[in-house]
Amino acid sequence: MDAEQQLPKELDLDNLVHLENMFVEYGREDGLIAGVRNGVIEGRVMGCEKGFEFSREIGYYAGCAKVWKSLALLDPERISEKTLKKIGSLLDLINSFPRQNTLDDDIIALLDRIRGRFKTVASAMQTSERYAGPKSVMSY
Amino acid sequence: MPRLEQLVELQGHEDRVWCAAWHPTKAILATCSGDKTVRIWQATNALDPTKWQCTNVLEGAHRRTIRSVAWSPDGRQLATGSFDATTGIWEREEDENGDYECVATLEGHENETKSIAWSKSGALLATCSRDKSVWIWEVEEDNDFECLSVLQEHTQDVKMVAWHPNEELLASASYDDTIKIWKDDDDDWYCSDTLQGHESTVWAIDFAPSGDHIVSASADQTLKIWQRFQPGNPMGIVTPRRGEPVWKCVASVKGEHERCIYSVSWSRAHGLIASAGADNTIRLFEVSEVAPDAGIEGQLTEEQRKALNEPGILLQASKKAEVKNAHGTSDINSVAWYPNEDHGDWLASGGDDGIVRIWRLIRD
Repeated sequence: MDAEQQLPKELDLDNLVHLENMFVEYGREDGLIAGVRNGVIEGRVMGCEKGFEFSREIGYYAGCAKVWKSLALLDPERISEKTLKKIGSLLDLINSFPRQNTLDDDIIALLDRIRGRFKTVASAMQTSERYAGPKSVMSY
Repeated sequence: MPRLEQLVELQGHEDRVWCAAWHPTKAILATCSGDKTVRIWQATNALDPTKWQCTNVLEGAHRRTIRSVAWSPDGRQLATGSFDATTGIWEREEDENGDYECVATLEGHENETKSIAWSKSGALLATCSRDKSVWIWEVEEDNDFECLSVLQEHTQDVKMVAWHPNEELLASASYDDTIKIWKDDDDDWYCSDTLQGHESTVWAIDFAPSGDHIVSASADQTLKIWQRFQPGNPMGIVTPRRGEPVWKCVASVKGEHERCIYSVSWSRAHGLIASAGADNTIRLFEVSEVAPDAGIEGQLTEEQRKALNEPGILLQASKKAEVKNAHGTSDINSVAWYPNEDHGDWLASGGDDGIVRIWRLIRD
């Protein structure tokens, strides 16, 4: 009888000893769940921001290239055929830039190529036009 | 043992000398400096190489330090790269003792232009900058330069550009510790190889006379030699891109330079490599092949080569001469061998002391 009474007591003591660990474990699980939820939201916001940033920059290049192309067509004396060809290849690169969400990080390399091609064309157009980036920082 | 003997000391620059460049065919040296000028130096007497004078001072075109200077292959034009972000093109007026005139200014870099280089044919000019980009310009008639390509794959400041001695192949060295090789595909330039191995900034590069090797100088205090491996090479080095060669490190010179190495020059005339930097010493190296079983650190067996897809150490650069304190206690920013056989034993150097020196290689 003595032995039977002592056993549960020991178990209670065990629970008490591990009480802190148990709470830490509960907290950890709650944290993981909250982390996943917040992480997904944060990731989406970041994705939106990046998508906005990229698209804004690409849109700027597209706008410049289209204007330059019409100028070149209007005044072929001043803007050579060679330059027009360069504008065309810049537009091709811009059009190949994905408009939908993509997990492919090659778009960073593509963006760099577009930036380089833009500078090449800007130099041919004898303008120091540069993408300055957004002037105001958006917040979500 | 060979040694370097000073021929002449050229004084005139009022700030540190950044770069010295020999005229491609004549005994004329151009040097540029933090004093925003280029000076042209010429031997006054063809028979006495110890008598030189400054014949021209090119000034007024750049608002900041002129970091580099390069002659066009026909010697008619001189290009200057400046911290004011522009590149100047200079021409000498026709009449004798004519002045040099800035006939074109190339704009496009966002900040400091670090280096410039003309291709062998003179049809292309490359420039690089702290803005991390390399620009390739086509030389057109009437001093017109058209930008062909803007290459932005370096992740840091690009320190130097150098063309292959006879192909339209460009190498660039960067603060991102790499060297990149650029090639042309129907007016579209692309990076065909990235050479990784240095542990710090690559300050300078030069091609071997054959063009199959590149020597690089780094802030990691080493020189490295890179070899080009064509597809189907006998060593079995895999060339991942279809039809494209790869460059692999085949020699590393450690324990010689004690500080950053800023400049390196591979002689077209006799194949000696000269290097100099922040340890105030000019060193000369002779490159030779390593015997297959020499037991040198870094040599690989055939199995190891296959497993690692690396050739291991194939070449050795042994020091043949050195000049300590070649510019006193000042850093040496530039060394340049005379580009052909006529005076192949001449080496020019420029340092933070604002002095330019011409040395002669003596072989006993």
